[in-house]
Amino acid sequence: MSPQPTSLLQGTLDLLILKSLVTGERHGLGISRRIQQITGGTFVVKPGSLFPALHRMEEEGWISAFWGDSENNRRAKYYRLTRPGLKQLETETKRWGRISWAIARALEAS
Amino acid sequence: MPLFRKARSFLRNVFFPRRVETELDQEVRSHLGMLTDDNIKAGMPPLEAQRAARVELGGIDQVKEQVREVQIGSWLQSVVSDCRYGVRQLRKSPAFTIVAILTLALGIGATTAIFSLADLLLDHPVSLPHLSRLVSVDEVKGNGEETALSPANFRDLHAETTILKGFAGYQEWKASLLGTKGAEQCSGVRVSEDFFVTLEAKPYLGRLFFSDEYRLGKNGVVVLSYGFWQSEFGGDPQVTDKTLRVDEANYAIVGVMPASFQFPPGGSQFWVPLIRDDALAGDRVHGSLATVARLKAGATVEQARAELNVFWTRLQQRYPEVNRRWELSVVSLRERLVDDDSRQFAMLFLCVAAFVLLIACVNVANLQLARAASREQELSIRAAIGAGHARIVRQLLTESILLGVLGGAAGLLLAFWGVALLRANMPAQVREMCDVSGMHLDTRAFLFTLLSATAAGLLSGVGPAFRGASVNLRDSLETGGTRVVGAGQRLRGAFVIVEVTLAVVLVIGAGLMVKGFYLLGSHHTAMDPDTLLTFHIDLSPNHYASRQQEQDFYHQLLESLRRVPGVVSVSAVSGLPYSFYENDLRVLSDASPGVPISELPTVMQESISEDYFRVIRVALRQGRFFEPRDGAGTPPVAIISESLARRLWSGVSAVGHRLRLPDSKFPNEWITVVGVVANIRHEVYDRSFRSVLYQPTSQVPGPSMDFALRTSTDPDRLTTAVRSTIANLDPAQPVTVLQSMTKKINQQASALQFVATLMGLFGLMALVLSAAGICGLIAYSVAERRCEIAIHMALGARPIQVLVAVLKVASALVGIGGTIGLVLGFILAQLLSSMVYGVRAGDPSIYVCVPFLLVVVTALATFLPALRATRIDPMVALRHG
Repeated sequence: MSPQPTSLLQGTLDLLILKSLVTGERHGLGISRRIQQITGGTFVVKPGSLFPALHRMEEEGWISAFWGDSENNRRAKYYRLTRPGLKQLETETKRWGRISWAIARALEAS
Repeated sequence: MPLFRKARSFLRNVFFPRRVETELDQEVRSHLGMLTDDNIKAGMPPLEAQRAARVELGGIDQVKEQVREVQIGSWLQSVVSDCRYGVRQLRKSPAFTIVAILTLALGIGATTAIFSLADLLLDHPVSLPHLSRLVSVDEVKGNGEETALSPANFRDLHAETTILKGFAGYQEWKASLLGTKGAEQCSGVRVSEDFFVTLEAKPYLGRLFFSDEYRLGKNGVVVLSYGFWQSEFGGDPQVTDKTLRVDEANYAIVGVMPASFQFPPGGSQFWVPLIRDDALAGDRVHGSLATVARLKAGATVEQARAELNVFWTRLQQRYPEVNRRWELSVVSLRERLVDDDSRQFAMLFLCVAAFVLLIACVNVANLQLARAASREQELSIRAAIGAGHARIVRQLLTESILLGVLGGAAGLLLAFWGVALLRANMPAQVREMCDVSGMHLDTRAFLFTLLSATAAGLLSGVGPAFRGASVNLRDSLETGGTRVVGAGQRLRGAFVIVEVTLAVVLVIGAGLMVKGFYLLGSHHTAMDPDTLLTFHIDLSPNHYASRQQEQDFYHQLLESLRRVPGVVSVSAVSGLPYSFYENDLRVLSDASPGVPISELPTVMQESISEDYFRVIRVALRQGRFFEPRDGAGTPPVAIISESLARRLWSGVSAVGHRLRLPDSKFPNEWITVVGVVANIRHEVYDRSFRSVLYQPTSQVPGPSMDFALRTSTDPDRLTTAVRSTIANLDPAQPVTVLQSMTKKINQQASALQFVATLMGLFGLMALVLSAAGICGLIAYSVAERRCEIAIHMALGARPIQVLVAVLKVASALVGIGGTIGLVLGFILAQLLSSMVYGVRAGDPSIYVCVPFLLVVVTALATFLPALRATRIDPMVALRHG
């Protein structure tokens, strides 16, 4: 039974996109599929959220874009992680760790 | 590094929007393609695969719009595109655009022009550098009446002060000038040594005064004003080689001041050094010096006041007999120059102009509402292709601001014209206290216009924009733009009510002022001013050494004037009505001998020649006029006004009674009343009749006299004859204010006339604007209710019934607005009547006329659109919607 897709938490989308690019460059659909895969289908990123996020992150300098050919020989825009992006991923990961630890602790409290 | 990247993105987004757009389009399309590919791979038929992919994507244009919103510099992009789109939209409906721009231009133009006027009165009555650092130091008596500083006190304060960087005294000087057009009275200023330094003034031509030129015994020097240089010397650049002959002394012209320098305001023609004469400087009694001083850097007016008051207390202790009852006043020059009345008027007009601007805004808001309704389909389409709610609001607001700015630009042109008009018609009272030539549209006025234009745009656009953006997408697309009748009608109705209310308040104010003005004017026709010629003569003591010589001159003048053809009768008086004459003396009557001197009533004393009452047509009530037998050697006599007779001898005849004038030269002399004359008005702004005591010139002569000539023709035609008659007797004697009595009265009333005219103009504007508003609303509602009206007509309604139905809508709104306006106007009128003399808040005629006017305006404004309603062809209307 596949879990119900959950709406993305504010701020998590950036983290997930960065994470999905660690293993290599991807185009938009690839990123979307990869996120779905690594979150076990919990998060489905709609193009309406994905593209604005990609463009914003590109302008932030965390990812860079270039045109290439897809598996099906379509021209597609590919994104890859940059050095500032990698650093951002680290800080975001740490931050996320703290948050999830704190939430988990809060929920365990009696 | 990230900053550099961001800047690059910004530049790319702003300067290569097309490339960015194409890339975005390609990216989204390739995404869609890949989705489709995946679906086909999963076994869907191609068409279905494409449909599913579209559903998953959620609309190409929506996605693109969402990306655009996060792009750096997207706001700039969209503002530019909003503007471009806005201009296109405005050009598509030129009638709307022109009406809206003109309406706003009227409001903004009026407000900006008035702002310049208020700015002049409140902020820079004179154009001097760093005006806010200038103060004025004066002596004030207990009752708060300000007076100038006495020379000795000035000298002492000047020597001790440390907080003032410059401290100068000056004296206005009415002198007679032997110019190109014969003897003339001119106005100069004697200035002390620091004067020009304190004001930071530099000459336009030549030089200012050297220090030793302020000493007695030096040759006279003079600096001319720019205007005087132009009018008297034709702007001659060699003027510094010439001399000016003033009061029979020669002054070498050493310089010319720039046109911008006009201080003290009121048309000073030249400046001469104030001689440091020891005799004059020892005077501690007469406050004869006006002062101006500049604060040292960092010092405040309060600090200067504190410091000077310390010295003043010392002066009071040292000279108690003269200084005891006087206080020192230190106020900013700005405050000193403009009186409270003018300030109040400036505020009043600012409010009135803001009212007009508000009406204009409401009008344009109404226009936009009507337009937004007819644009519903366009807006729906925009929403359908991905424009968010905020985006549509912004688009509509951009259009409104665009309208505001265009209106502001047109308004600025109007304001230029308005300021020129105001400047040319400024009443003399205002000219005397501030430098009117300094009134212009400056940076502040521009900023003000910009601000009010944007505010006007926003104000008129907010309501319509939010209404426009809240369209229901499916409804409006499906019904093809025809709307549910009545939606938005209520807001527009409310707007019309507001507009009518404001207009009624303004019209009431204007009506009261105009009426007050005419009432005042009608008070002053009793003396038949149309056939009275008047002038003033001030005999110079250098020329006429004794009283006898003066009297001989006046006697000869009266005789020769009587012989001038066209002159019926002639008389002299120490001060004619409407010439701001004041001479208040305390009076003691034989009916109340024991009254202490401080509680005695005061009267205005006038010396008159024999024929005075016959010339200005004042009726004798009791006793007799003066006769030749009332001479220097006979017992003193007086004629009094009815109001004085009532005050001194209430209930009994005053003739034969006696009185004394303790302030006069002969305080113990008993004067017998020989006659009582009717009351006359003396000044336009007098609230009651003055108590006047007339004495014959043969018994109480004076050095300066007003003359009144009763003429059988237009008095203006006799001016040259009068001038030459005087020149025949004494060529060096200047004549001033040679003009008809009518002109004299009008000049005095000019301030009120100015105020009333301006107010009337604003009232008219308000009326026209609200008429346009009503007209627009009715026209729109008729267009909107075409089908309904058509059905009524198809079912047998007669045109008159349709007309009545349309009129009902208008009259309900106008009725509500008018009633609120009448009540508000009545309340505000109380305020106005306390401010402007002559305005009676409860004047019933105004409250009858205004509603009547409103009915007429409404009828006019509604008639055309209502008529159009009756011409609707039911067949056409019902077929085409």
